[in-house]
Amino acid sequence: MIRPQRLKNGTAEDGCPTTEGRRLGARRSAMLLLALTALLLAGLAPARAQERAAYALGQGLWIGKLNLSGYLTIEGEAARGEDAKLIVDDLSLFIQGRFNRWFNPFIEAEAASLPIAVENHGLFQGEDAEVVLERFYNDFVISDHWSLRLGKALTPVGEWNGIHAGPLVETTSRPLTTFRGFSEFYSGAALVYQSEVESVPDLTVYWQPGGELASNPEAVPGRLFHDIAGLNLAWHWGLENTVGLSYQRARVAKTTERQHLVGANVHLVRGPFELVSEFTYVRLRRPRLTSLRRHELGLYVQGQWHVDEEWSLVGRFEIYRDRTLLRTSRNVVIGISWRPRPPIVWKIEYLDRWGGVLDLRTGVRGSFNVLF
Amino acid sequence: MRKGGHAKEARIAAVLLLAVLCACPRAGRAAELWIVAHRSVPVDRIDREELARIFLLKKTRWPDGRPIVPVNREAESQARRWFTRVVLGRSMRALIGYWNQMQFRGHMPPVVQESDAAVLGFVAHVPGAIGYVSARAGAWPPQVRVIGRIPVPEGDAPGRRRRSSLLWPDNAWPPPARLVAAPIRAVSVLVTPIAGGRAPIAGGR
Repeated sequence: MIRPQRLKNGTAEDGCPTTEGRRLGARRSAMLLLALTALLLAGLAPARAQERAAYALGQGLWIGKLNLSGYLTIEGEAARGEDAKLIVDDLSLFIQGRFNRWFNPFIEAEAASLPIAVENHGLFQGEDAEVVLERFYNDFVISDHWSLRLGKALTPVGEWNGIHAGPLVETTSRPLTTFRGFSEFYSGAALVYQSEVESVPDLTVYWQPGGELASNPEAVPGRLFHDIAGLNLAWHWGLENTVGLSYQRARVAKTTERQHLVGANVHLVRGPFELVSEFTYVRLRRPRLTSLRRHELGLYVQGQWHVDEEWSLVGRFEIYRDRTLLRTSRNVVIGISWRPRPPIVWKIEYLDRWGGVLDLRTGVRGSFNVLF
Repeated sequence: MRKGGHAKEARIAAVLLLAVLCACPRAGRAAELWIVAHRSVPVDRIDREELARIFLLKKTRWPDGRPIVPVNREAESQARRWFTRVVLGRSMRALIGYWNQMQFRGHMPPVVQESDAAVLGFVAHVPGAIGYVSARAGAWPPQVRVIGRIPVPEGDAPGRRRRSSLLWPDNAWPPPARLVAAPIRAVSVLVTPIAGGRAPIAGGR
């Protein structure tokens, strides 16, 4: 997934960790991951042969009540004014289990930005690879509908952030609206209600006191969020149609800035056509000096046409008014994706950007994505 | 001589009739899927709505609080195609995409087993497990109970097994031809009234 430019030469902006700090964080994350994995595996009795499930690509490996799965995204990018590159953008491993009412862990560890070939660099050079502990939490089942989630998880703001893995989304580039204006993660507690009927929405209320655990090195520079709270309502019908509403408030670390976000998202499917849209509006209180306005907003509208079971065409328009830029940024994407099998998708797209310069650059991108 | 000739003709006719009867498909005899569960499951009967909620991960606990472990057959199997069509009423592709998203969100998708015997073996050994097998499944472990039967509509013949390579799908028509045909299909979908809910279900329990 094409994401923000990462900090290079050790400089920090408004409370963001330096590169060295991020490396230390990544090391801590890796150690924590190993410890959690060891704990999980130690608690497992050897599964009997009859309890093992057949391995199927995209459905993970079942060992007793434990499922090991993940995804791989290899990206190529030729953007205007930047070195062309081929990288392993994400190599992600999930470990999840359903043991009893109280012990239902989920862990996601990710190796990101592993360079394969970067223009003007040697093989396997030119990018800083990172190891990230993206998520780790445990679900406590209160009832058939209610559960309590403790740990680090993705915030339910819109739809894309919750399913951002390359094989699950339609384009290689990620809309700014889906990550730039809010915290993508919370480290704390969430109360989750999962509805059985379509007329009643799913509900998630979450709260993070203080800072983020194992903070993500890919966070937008200058936007580490503390003291986060939010909620999400999502109505689902059919398998794929969704309308959602989101709210999130947070404090930007080491600044005076506080923000309140409201958002809406919609996903409609009609035959081979899909319409996906997300909108976020952020209101700032006590903005810092670098914030040129008291609000930030983003909107994208994406249309997909599934030409047949394997081929899809996608088009997207996005507008983003960032708090730190006077000019509004706009971008448009057109692309093709090919799914020879449901867990595998090849994508290629052209993105054109104009207006304010944010994370997305004009150019061609392609990716190979697989769930395993 | 003549009497013997009649007897011989009658014998030949009987043999031919028997051969024809044996060769013909057993019309009118519908197939069934049997819903099987571990014997500890605190449910005696289950209807299709409930079954769909379980396999769509909307219902995750049995009434006694024990986790439900749904068991699916592999995507290429006839039983999976029947179950998907009759109980879940969605396309295989939409379902796989849905389960992939649910897994990314931290939910556990159904376990996959590659034969009726493997489903029965798994269900027999995992408390809370529920799956489906075709009615002709052979050996029956004592730890497994049948809690539902689903008739499969007649004429629901199994489709061609389809396998794709990573590089090129095993399709009858190359992509350019399908690109030409697709607009016609798309227009036909747009002018068709919205079909609500799942596909019609034949023969309730």
